[in-house]
Amino acid sequence: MRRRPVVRLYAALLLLLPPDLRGYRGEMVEAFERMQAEEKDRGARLRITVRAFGRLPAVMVLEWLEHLGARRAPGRTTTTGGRRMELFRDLRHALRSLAKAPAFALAAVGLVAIGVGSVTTIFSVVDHVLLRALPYPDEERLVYLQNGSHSGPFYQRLDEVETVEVWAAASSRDVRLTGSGEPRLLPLSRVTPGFWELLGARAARGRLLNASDGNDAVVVSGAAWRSRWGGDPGLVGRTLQIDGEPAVVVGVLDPDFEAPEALVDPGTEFWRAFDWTEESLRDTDFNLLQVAGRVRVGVGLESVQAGVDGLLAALAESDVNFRTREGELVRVPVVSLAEETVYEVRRGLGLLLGAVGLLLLVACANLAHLFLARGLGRTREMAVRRALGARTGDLTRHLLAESLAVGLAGGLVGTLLAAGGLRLFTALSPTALPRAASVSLDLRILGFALGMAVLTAVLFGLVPALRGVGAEVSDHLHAGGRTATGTRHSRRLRHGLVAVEVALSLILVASAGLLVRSFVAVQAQETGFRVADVWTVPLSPTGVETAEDLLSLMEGIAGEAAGIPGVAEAAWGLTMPLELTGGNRCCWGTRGVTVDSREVDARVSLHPVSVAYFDLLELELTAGRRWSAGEAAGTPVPVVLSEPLAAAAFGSAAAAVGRSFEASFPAVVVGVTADNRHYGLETPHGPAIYLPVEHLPFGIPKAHLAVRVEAAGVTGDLPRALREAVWSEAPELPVPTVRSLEGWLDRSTAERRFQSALFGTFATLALVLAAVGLYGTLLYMAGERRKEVGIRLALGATRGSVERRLLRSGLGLTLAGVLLGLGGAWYAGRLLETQIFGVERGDPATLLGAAGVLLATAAVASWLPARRAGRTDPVETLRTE
Amino acid sequence: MDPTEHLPLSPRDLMILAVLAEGPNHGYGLIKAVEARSRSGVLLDPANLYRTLRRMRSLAWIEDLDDEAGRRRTHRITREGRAVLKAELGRLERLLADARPAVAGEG
Repeated sequence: MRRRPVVRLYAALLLLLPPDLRGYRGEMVEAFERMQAEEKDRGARLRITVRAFGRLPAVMVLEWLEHLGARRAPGRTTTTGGRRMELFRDLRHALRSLAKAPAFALAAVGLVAIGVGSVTTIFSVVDHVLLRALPYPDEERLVYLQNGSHSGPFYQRLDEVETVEVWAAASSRDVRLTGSGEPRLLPLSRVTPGFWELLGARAARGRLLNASDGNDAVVVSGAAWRSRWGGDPGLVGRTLQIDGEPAVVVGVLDPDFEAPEALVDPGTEFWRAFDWTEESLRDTDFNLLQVAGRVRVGVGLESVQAGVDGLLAALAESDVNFRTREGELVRVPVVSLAEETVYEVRRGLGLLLGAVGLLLLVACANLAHLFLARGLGRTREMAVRRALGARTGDLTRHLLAESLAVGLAGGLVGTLLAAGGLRLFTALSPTALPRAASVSLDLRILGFALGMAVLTAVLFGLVPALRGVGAEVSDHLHAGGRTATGTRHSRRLRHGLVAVEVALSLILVASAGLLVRSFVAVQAQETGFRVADVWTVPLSPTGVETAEDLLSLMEGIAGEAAGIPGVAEAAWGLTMPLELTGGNRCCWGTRGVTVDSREVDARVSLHPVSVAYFDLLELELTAGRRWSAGEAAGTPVPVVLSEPLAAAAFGSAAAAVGRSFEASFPAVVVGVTADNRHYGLETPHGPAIYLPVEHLPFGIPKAHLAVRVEAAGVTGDLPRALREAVWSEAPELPVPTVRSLEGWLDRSTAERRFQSALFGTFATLALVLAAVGLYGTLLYMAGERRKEVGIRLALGATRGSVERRLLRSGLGLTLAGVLLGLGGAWYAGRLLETQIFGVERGDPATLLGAAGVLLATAAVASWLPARRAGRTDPVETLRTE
Repeated sequence: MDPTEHLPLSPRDLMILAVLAEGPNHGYGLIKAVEARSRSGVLLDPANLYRTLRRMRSLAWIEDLDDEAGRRRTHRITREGRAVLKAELGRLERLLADARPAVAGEG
């Protein structure tokens, strides 16, 4: 079993105990773990944690003092104890010398913190969502059946697949909870009894559902129990009104149970058993079930796949529903449940991880030359100390202590940043990240990032000490700070680091550029319908049995809504634009249409809408007209085609008007409308048929109301008024959402906005870091050349020529970095291919723009030191000689 | 050894010895047993517990028994430990007896 992060942290801290007590570490950790595990109450667990961690520092200090004291007592002066004291002295010394250079210390600590913090945040999410095992027993043996939902009869025959020991099915939908306050629409999942066993779920109160439970028994999720009923233990046994029917709460699910998002809606609040006598579960026409199972030990996915394929073949013998339109067998791929859970987010998160990795590299490169610059500036100090008798070992240890102090302080700040960042990330991320609710800081990656930062600090912090080795002390003292030849090597190193930083930053800036341009391109898309002043209300009228019921209910509601003062018009349909985005489509469609006995193969969306729909949304009619209220109920069905369908079926929009064709019903074209962005700005709507709601062939618990408000606006509370309008017709119908079309639009682009914002942030950070690096390097260069510059100026060089020289060095370095980075940026564009929209992956304008941004930043960063060099007072510099 | 040499005992030491006087126990069991006597107000954390146990062992108040698996150590009170516990309890009782009349009338 994996340990909780807090236990792992405790275990890690205990490693810092002196050796004699460390022997008990295993038992201490075990005791702490059991204390944590045994306590169900969060508050009590927190108190235990605070107590254990809070008392640790005191124990630590006392133990070390006793340990060292005990060692010294017998009079052995040169023991490890003595050396430990030296380390403390070194650390104290290091802190003192860092305090004398606060700018350096702050910058270095800041760099470590940014690098460590950002990498830890993103990796914690990635690791948790993509890499960590699902929290179910034998999770590596859990499989999921792809290809959407499956029918009841198919599920019941799955038992014939012998390589699987247990199957479970689930089906989610929203139900009405009534009886207390406003009616609410809440997610319910129906599950088979095997579901609990498969996923190792337990009840916190009462019991879970078993095979004998019917529709009148319900289990409440732990989260809903806490939030809706305040953890009331009396909930079990109470009767709730669900979809107007009484249901007894038989149990509460363990709050720690993570519902599998591949199988049920996230946030499922109620759980109920399937009623296998129900018509829809006995029909192979109805695909309702999400199916998962646990394979037998030692069985591979291929043999399960073979079993499922065999079953499908057997079923297809007698039932055409198991064949596709082309007569092929329906494919049901078997994948691991873990794979299915993260399928959609894998790419986006992987890219983020790449971006943040680049940022860490930039931060480390920057840290490296920060230390280099400081070290080189101290060559003389080191030489003096050596002359006063300090050994190379002492100096090395001192520098090491400094690097460690910086690394650790930065790590501490970085950890805090990561903790905050993680909360921010999960709160702001608009995609429902699978399992995001249970993300926690990852200590391994914290260790890795911190290790990398400390290693960089140590490596480059030691350079001055190493340089001193072998050199004669007197060399440095004689050199008197004049540029010694030895610096040429380190100068090259520093210049290389700047170039690398620029290159890495360019990759980030160019990637962010591509994403931001995509975002802009998406925003600039014409919707093809009116967005301003339109408000919509999605509804799920569950009590509606037939199409006529739905029609009369919705006509009533639309009539009420149109009567609200300030509302100009009301319309309704099965869906409204932008309600479903990101590849989701609603509910009614047809595979192709028939024109004069010629089949036109296309995936066609069917949109039953009320007459007012076209006027309200101002859909552009490129040919013909909309149907009139009088025609609506007539046959053949008067329809409006989308332009792509008109073109595919009749050659052109104009040619389509007046023609008849066959969909799943006989129809006549009265008009053609331009293609619009019904399913989101990034997806063309494609072939679609708008038809009068009067021809909806079935009752469906779904409808969407829209109103347009007058330019003067509505006085008062429009959402409230719309809710009242719904309730005046259907008092028990929940109204979860009243949203403006602008709001729907915003929502549909939120994911892209978040991603570009995140990349933009990383790119900006990298840019700032690169600029600071360049600035520091040039400043150092200017300082190095002060005397040279002083002499030049004294000999008559102009200020301008001095400034230009330095500026040129800076821009030269940047240009080298830019050239280096362009290749990387081009490659990054390829990785981003699936994420960009309306812009080429190797878009030259974006690449040049990014290069321009870097050069401009570099110009500013170089100009400041250059100006300072130009202001050198020659007399002053020469006098100090 | 003079059992009174280390008196008075800290509440934590007293509670640990008192629990062990009832029978050998391991670390986690000790934490729970002390916690169960919640009126004492002593709450143990692992680090402090093992620090205390190590000190008691070096004073020979307790000894370690390796369990069968050799994984988890069980701690047992020694004769010296019992003597110290008894001495401390006696001291406390006398202290109480001396102090109590002062507030006896106030209920």
